[in-house]
Amino acid sequence: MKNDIHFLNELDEDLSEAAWRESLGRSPGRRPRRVRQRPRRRALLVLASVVAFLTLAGAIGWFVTRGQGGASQELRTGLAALGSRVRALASAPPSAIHNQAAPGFAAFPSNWAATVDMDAALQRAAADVPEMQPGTVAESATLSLSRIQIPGDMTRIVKTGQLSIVVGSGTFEDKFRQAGMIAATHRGYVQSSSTSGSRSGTLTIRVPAARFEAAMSALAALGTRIESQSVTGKNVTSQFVDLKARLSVWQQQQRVLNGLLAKAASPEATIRYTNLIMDVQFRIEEIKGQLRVLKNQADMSTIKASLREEGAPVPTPKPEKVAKPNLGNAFQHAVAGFLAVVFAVVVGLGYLVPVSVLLALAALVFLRVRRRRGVV
Amino acid sequence: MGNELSTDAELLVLSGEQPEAFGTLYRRHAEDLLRYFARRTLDPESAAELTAETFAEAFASRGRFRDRGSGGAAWLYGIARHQLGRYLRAGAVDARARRRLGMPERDLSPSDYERIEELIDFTPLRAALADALDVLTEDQREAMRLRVMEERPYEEVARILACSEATARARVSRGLRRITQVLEPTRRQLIREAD
Repeated sequence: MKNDIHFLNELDEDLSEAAWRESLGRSPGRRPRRVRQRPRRRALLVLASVVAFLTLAGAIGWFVTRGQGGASQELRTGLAALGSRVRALASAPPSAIHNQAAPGFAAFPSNWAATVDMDAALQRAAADVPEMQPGTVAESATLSLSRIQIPGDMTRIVKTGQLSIVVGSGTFEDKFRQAGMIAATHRGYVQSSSTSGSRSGTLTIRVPAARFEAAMSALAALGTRIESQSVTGKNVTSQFVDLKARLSVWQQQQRVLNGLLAKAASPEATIRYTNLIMDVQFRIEEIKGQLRVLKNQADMSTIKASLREEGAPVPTPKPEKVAKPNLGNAFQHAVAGFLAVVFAVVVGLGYLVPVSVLLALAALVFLRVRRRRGVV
Repeated sequence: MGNELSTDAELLVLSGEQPEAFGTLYRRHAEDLLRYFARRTLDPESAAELTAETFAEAFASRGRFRDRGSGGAAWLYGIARHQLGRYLRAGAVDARARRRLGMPERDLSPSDYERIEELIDFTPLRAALADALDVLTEDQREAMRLRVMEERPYEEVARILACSEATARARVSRGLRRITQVLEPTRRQLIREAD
């Protein structure tokens, strides 16, 4: 029976052919085409799969690195770039060094901007040393994280306490004086103090971190009641480690420059190296200063105590200055954020790709076994 | 062939020994099944593919058919409902059974396309379509009005719209697809029926 729909007739023939093949016990000879899907839908499906895969990779990467794609990674990237830059510098002929840009240093954060100038200066300096052989700088100045020595316990917590207490009527002056003595008792000192009339005042004391709790308790014991009390602890360990690492890098730069200075052949080169060394020295002192401040903040805790007599008016706190964000840093933060995301995705892919391959192989084996058993 | 008087169930059982007996079953139900799919998908291409896949699946798994009194047609339509449900959920027709049997995927000729559209029978849909036409573009709406509401042949539709027949067909096809999305409640009902 022929149908007026040609497609059905063709399908009839196809089924007859399949029946004929089966009766002959032959398996289908040719490989059929794949399922036809609407191209747009398929493209969307592929796109969604890729996005989901990368998102998962990013999540895994972030989880594995716990968000270390930020400052520390930035530092590592900068160090790696610096190392490769110095190696390139050492292997390049002096004439080429003059005209080279310094792309590697773009990886450094904004506060490393001086490094770029330093790079250009190093190039000029290296070109002035005729006896400098390729590899000399690389050997002496290759920077790697393994050479940055980070001591064992670097934990740094900046503790800050705030206490508002009410003292008995007519005892303010006595208690205020005792509060100052508490600082001395705990091997600390009074950083500032001020009184408002004769019935209220505030003082800020600094005590060793180990004595912080004891000093807080002693101050609290001065009052008849405590109006408010708060303690905050700010972990500055990562900041501390970063500064240490930066210091190490600059110190290595200094050693490189000292080496070049020793080999300087002309008075001009000597002057140039001296200037560079002074710049580096300035950087080192700056970082050392920041480290000192940080260490001081961590070693000596700050307690701000407000005392007032019973019935005395509550002093109105001065409005604090609102910190304004620096828009100039916005772009650099955006780039850093972008790199951190890419970093997390790449790390995540390292975990996800082998796992996906294994799962795909397992699925393939499962489907093969299933097909052999004739399950539809 | 001598199988014309056999029941569907008998044909299915017989086809286990004589595969060519399946052809009789096919010729008996092919057009009805195509109509079944066409009315539910409103898409001639998908309906044709679903028909092909259903028969391929039935042929491949006919060895599992057991006559429990419900008949071979019920078994065949059970496979059809399963295929339709998959299609409505995934938006694409499966081709696994055809691949397994080494059957090619075939394209619809323009005349087949029109013939299958005739099978759809838009009468019960016309009222709902009239409201849903608002969601279409002007071109699609006009093509749908001429083809679906007034049942004019594509040749005439193309002449009125001053475009090629292929363009007219594409406009109707896109319009139908859009209408199917708009008639979501009806679609959900179809999925439930298919399951």
